[in-house]
Amino acid sequence: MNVDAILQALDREQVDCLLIGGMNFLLRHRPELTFDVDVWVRDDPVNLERLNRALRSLDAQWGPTETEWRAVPDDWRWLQSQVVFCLTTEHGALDVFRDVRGLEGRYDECRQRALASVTGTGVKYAALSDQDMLACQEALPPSQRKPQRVEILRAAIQRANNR
Amino acid sequence: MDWDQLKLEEERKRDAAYDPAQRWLHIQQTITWAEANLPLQRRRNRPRTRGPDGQTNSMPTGQ
Repeated sequence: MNVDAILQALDREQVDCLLIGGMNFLLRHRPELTFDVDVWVRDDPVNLERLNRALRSLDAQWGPTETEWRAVPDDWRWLQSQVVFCLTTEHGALDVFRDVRGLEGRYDECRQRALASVTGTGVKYAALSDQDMLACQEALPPSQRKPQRVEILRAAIQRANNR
Repeated sequence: MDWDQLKLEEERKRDAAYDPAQRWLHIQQTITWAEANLPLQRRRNRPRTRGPDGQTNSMPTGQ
């Protein structure tokens, strides 16, 4: 997966979004095998339209069923049909969230706490904070939580608070 | 469909639709990209390096 190409397409179209999930944890804390890029997008029509343009530039594909899997439509409004989409793109798998469990309805608040970051090749992205990553883990049923991730996030937050 | 079911169904559909050769290529690219984007002390495929917080990268265990 060319993560740079995915983040670059989102940045080029000025999509308001946050990097969340395993890739964010990997970049900030610990190498952990992850197979997709997860982004949380601001859920408003202007932003979803920008997102759709970015998805089309990435040759993204999605379908209501696997047999109807095809290029995403030109009309962005398909993005309003559900809260999460798992897509394929020419550069790898991309998960798009219009809302995130544990942080429901708090995009603006999380955006303010987000960390402005750049990849090794200089591609800009905003990363969900440790505090909010932890909130996502804690919202999961215990059987789905990643205990090591929770432990590392708690320790990182503690260290930051002690500074 | 609740949140968990929807996410699981989305992942299942994508797995079914993914071209296996392309998926394998994407996984290889992800590993390469992640390695290049981690700070030295967090890389696995490098000599041990101590980071500012005393953390070292782990060595492959073969497990």
